[in-house]
Amino acid sequence: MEYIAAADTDIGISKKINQDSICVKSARTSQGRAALIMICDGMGGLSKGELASASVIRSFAQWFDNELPYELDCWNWEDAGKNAANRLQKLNQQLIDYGSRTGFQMGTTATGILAVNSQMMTFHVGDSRIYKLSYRIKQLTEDHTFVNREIKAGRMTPQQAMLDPRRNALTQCIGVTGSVSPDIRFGSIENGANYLICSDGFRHVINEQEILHVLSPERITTKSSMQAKIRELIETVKARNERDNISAAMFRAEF
Amino acid sequence: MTREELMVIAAAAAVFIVINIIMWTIIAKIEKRKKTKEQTSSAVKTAEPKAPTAALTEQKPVKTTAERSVQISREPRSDFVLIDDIVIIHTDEFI
Repeated sequence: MEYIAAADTDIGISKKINQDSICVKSARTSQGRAALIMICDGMGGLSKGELASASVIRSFAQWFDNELPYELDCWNWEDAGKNAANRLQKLNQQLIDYGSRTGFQMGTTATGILAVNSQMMTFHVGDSRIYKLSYRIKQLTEDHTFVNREIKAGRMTPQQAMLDPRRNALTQCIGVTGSVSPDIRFGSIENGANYLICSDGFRHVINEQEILHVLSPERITTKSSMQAKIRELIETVKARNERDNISAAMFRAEF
Repeated sequence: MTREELMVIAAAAAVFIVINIIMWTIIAKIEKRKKTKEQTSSAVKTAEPKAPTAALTEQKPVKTTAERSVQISREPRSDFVLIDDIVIIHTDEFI
């Protein structure tokens, strides 16, 4: 079994700071393969968003390096899900406490994939997204946004949502809302499919078919081609005047 | 204590309980409304940072695997070999 992963981020064309953070880790272990692919999008409207996203990424990166090797000895997906949710809730409280101590209001999304051999878990808070790309593209996460909640409740159409001034309002994120309920999902990794995690800046001005066209599994067979195709789409997004930071990470398993 | 006195005490207790139930129901509703309002209004992402500080203008991505706050009490596992190890963050600050 082989894991291929790559990531890239760009400050974009108008922001003075890149508030996104990324973690791509994979390891070969005596139990097989393990990987953590994660993106955190610091809140653009909140000060110190880059500190919020960095703090969450650091915490998960440290967990991968220092705790996962031991947890793999008696691996249990249910416990892994609970631990990820607990970690996100704890980080949420830490960021809120730091904000109240220092006067900075910080927030970040947190969306990632944890893979162990042929199984995976997704964890998600905010409006970053995970897509699965095979012969088609499928969104695996649901945006925690006000407009998405309204669409699901039947009170708004997707067309209305695109024009609504509240389209960027999040219903939950790390560091802002008093409590968070991360979406945790489990599943099997599809052999040869590409899994894309991206910030909202990556997908605002490109549609799903364009993403599938460039990042489809048949076009990407190596790590370097994965890296190049992500950069290609980031440049496309910048050329279309996206004003946000732009980040994407990809993961693929072959067995 | 006469039967009438007992009836008065029982009635007073019943009134007290009813008032308490109504009061806490109202309080719970107000708290819930407040919480919902906070959750939707405080998490708004805007296109531009509200107040970027001067210190935040440096934009060199920090790729790091060494973490200041790690407290490792166990020995590193030799059977756990990192293949990809990318951490991209844009600040040196810690909370």
